[in-house]
Amino acid sequence: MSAKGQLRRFENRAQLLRHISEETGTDIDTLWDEYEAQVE
Amino acid sequence: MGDSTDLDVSFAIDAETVSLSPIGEYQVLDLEGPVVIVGDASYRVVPVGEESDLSEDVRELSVDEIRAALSELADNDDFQSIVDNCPTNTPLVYDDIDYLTRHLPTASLQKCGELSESTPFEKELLLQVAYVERQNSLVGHSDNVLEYYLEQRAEIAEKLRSTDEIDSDVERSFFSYLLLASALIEELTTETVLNELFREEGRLDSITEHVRSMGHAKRLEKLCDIQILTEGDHGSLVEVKKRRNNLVHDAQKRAGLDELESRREVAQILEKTDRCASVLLTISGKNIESVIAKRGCDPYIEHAQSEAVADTITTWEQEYPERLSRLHDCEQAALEKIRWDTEESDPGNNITEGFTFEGFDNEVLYEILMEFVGDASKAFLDRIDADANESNLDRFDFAVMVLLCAGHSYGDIARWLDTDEKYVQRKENVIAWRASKFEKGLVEEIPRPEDQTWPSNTESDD
Repeated sequence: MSAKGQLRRFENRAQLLRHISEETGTDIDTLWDEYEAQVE
Repeated sequence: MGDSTDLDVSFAIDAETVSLSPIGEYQVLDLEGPVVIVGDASYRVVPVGEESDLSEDVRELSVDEIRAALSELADNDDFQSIVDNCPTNTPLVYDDIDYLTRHLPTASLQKCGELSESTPFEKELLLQVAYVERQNSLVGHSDNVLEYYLEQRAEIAEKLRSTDEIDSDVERSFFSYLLLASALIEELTTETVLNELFREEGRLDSITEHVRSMGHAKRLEKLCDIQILTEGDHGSLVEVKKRRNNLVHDAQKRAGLDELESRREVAQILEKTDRCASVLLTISGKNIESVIAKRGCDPYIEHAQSEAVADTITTWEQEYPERLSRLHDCEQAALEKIRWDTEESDPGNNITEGFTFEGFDNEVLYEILMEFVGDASKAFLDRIDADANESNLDRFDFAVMVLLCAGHSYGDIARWLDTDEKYVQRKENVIAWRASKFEKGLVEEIPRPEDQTWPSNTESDD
């Protein structure tokens, strides 16, 4: 296994999802729904 | 003697703005790869630099593996020892695992290897999880003690306000407060000594042990010697320790609160103790966001507000779409451009850009706007928090840098950051070359040390 990367801390949900959206191209609506569905 | 006058107690630590995220349960989500959620914050591995072809490798840590590792390793002593040896941040340009394997002492890496053999987890995953734990203990402000401290402070303040005299209930409450204040101060002192004095060598267990065995008084002395702590604050912190010891070791003194006779006297000690805890919260880098927000340089404030507004729009698009669209539809509003005067305590009344108030009299919309700006103001502090964490400088030095870039005097910066002027001068010597591309991009220009700065000889002249 290799994990080439940096661990980054995000302080709120918007910061995290905006980052993932910019990095992967997935739209924020989808990410937001995924987050809601998975978080306990 | 009874005293029924109104009692006003004011505190240095603002319970509303101090970033308080006690350790919570971890959750691991799968959002285009693993994300570890801890309270409101989250961790994710992002690619190093601008090499986009690395993103596939980054996702190789599986969600299930991380989930299993977090729950199995929580009580493992060997794993905890690896966590204790991890740094609190790594340089932005390096891969974390590459950096950690070079940074950690051989004994820790050997433990990591052994742990990997006795568990289903690979070495890289163990290191990554250890690093999350270490980061969270610092930047998560994971002081449950701070939370208890604020609760106890609120209780004693309320008791003082609502009673006419010092009774046994007030005494008990004050004693509990003082114990928590002492515990908080000692914890933060240890952390700051480790940060400042043994910055790099703190990775060695033996050095950490040495700092822990020094005793609180010696640790405070060290902070004073390196001038992150002023002599005045050092004296006040020694007084807190003395008062705590007097009350702990002498039941008679405890019963009479060591001769504190009036509510006003108790309140004054309460305020002084709180101020001491506040100093440690600042110089340990845990509570710097509000100072940066108020006094930071213009390019940085522009960056952080712009990101905060974008974060807030993202949140509102999901949570309050109707209210957001009303703001978008308003001709006077240019939402993305909203900015506010950060030196004022209420951002709502100090919008400087992004909204034209002339001829505007829609009260309902005004309320929505105020809510939006209120949320943006919170997101602004979150953004500062995130930048301070991401910086290659430690959190406190990041604050020093952003204030130095604003052109404030050494004296003002020292006063706002509860430190000594000399510390600010010394940091100016090193910040320009220690700052990475990330910090340089946030503040544009970092000042250089210029002119000699000999100590004032006014006193000897007198």
